[in-house]
Amino acid sequence: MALVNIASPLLVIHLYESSLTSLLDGIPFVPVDIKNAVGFTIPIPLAFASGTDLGNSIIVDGVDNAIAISNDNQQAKSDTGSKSKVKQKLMNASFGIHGRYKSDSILMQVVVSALKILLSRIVDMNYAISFFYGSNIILFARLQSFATDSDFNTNMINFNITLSTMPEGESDTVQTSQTITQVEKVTGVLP
Amino acid sequence: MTYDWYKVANKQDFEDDGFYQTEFRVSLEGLGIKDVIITRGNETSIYIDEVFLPVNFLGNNPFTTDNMAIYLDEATDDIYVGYEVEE
Repeated sequence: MALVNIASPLLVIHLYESSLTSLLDGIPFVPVDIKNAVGFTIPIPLAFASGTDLGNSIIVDGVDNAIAISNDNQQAKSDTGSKSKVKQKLMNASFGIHGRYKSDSILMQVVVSALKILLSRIVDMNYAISFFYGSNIILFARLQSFATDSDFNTNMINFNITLSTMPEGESDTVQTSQTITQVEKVTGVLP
Repeated sequence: MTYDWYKVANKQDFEDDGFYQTEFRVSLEGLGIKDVIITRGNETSIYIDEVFLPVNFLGNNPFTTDNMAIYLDEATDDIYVGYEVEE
């Protein structure tokens, strides 16, 4: 299971069974360890986009669902459920990851709903989520401060999600170096 | 736990470059050539051997997973990746 060269604005969700315990202990995010993952990748297209046409929008394009999320509530409503429209907007948008989305009111609510839709279609909810963009890991979602296990497993999902992306003005360019650097090891508790 | 540590990047240098992500290769002593990604997300993170290692994650420095770790030398901003070894 490798993350390689998904040359489209899609994100892949990886689900990790082992994350649940840590989540319940209040740790908001468990880092991805693909080697020890349960062993499946579900390539649900998930796109986070921002651009003139989209405003500050997040698009979640699930198996059968598309939800556009915007700081402009009316805009979000108009886009919700319109998969083709959302896709078209995404194609026309200058794709990038910009801005910083905090867990607040409408935005958070819709994000939670969107994740719930995706999760409910896959497995029970005893999983944590990590987001990848092709082979480039550029953001991830954090599940924070939900109260109890029962909340997580019922419709009363009660946790906050913070989506942190690149701050405005930062380069969205990937730098690739062909140079191979020799690195010596240092053995010990700390280097 | 004991690790073999490898200095793979410098956090400050990476941030000064202005890229959100840099991909490069290193030849680690005893392990061979590895593809490495250093990326800027919620934290600066290293992706190596299919493991995602956020630097100083949740205030844990080093931050450890099952068999690997990542350590930020705060004096130099050097980032080390650690592979757990038998003591």
